[in-house]
Amino acid sequence: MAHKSVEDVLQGILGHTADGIDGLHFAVFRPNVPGAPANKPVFNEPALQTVLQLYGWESRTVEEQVEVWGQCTDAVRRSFQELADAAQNEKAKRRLRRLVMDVEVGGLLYAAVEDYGWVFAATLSQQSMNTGRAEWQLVEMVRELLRFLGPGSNSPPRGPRR
Amino acid sequence: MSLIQNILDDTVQDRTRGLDYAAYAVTRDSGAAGESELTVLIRSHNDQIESLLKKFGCLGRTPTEQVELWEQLLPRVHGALRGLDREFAKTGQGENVRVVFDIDMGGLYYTRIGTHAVLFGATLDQDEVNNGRCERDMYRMVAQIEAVSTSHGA
Repeated sequence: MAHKSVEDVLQGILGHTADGIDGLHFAVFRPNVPGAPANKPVFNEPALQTVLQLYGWESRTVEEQVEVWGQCTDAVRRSFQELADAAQNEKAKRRLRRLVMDVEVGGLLYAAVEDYGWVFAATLSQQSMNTGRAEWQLVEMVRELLRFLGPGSNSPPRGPRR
Repeated sequence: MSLIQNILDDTVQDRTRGLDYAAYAVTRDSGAAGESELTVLIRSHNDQIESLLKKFGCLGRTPTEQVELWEQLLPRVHGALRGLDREFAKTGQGENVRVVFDIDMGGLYYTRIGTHAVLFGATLDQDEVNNGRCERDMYRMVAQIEAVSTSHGA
C-alpha cells in the first residue's frame, strides 16, 4: 500500500504492536526546507508501554518519554553537525550522514536523508543496539523516505530543495 | 601501557585496511560543571592515509597533518558528548558509551572504556565504514584493552 505521509512511512517501520519491543521506538523527520513545518514524531505506543513496565519505570508515561526524545532532537543535530564540519576541516561543507549513539540503556540515532532533511530515532532496547537491528531500521527509514520524497513519488508537494 | 600500544598497532597497521588511526586516552573530571579533561596516552596510525588523502583530492595535506586534525578533534568530541550526556539524562537512558559518526569521507568512532578512558578511531575510507569493518575493529580493540586492564590494572 502506498504511504500517505512521512509519518506513515516511519510508523510502517516502527510498527504498531508490542511485538516490536526490540526495535526502534521513536522517530521524527525534519525537512531541510527553511520555514517548513516540522513533522510530527511517531512512536510505537504498545512497545514503549511494555518496555517502560519491564524496566520498572511506571512513573514515566509514554507521552513523557516521547516528549524528552523530542527535546533531544535539535540538541543532537546542533552539536554534531558542528563536529562533523570540524572533523573534515574542509572549505566545502561536509555532511554528517549517520550518527549512532549507544547509551547505557538503548540508543539514539540520526541519519541524513540526502538533501531532503534528516531523521532522528531512539530506542530503549539495548538488545536492538547490540544486534544492529536499530541501525538496520534506521537505514530502512532513509531508504523508504527517499522512495517517498524522491523524484517520481506521489508524495504531497514540498518546498524547494536546499 | 605497551600492551595497549601493541593492541592498537596490531589493528591499525593491518595491511588489509580497516581503521587508519586509533588513540587511547584517559579522562579526568575537572570541575563542578561536569567538565572533563582528556589526555591521549597512546596512538597508532598506518601508511594508508597518504594514498587515501590523494584518492579523495586532499592534495595539500600530509598524513601527519591528518593525524593532528584527528587529535585536535578528540577533545571536542569528548566535550560535546559530555554535554549531550547531560541532555540525555532527561531520557533516563544514561550516558554515551559508544558513538559512530558516519561522515562524507569515512568515519569517526568513540568508545568509553570504564569510567576514565576512551578509545577513539578514525578512517578516511568510506568503504570500510559501510562494510562494518571499522566497527568490528573497535569492538575487538575495546575487548582486548578491557582484558589487559583487568589483568594488569593498566
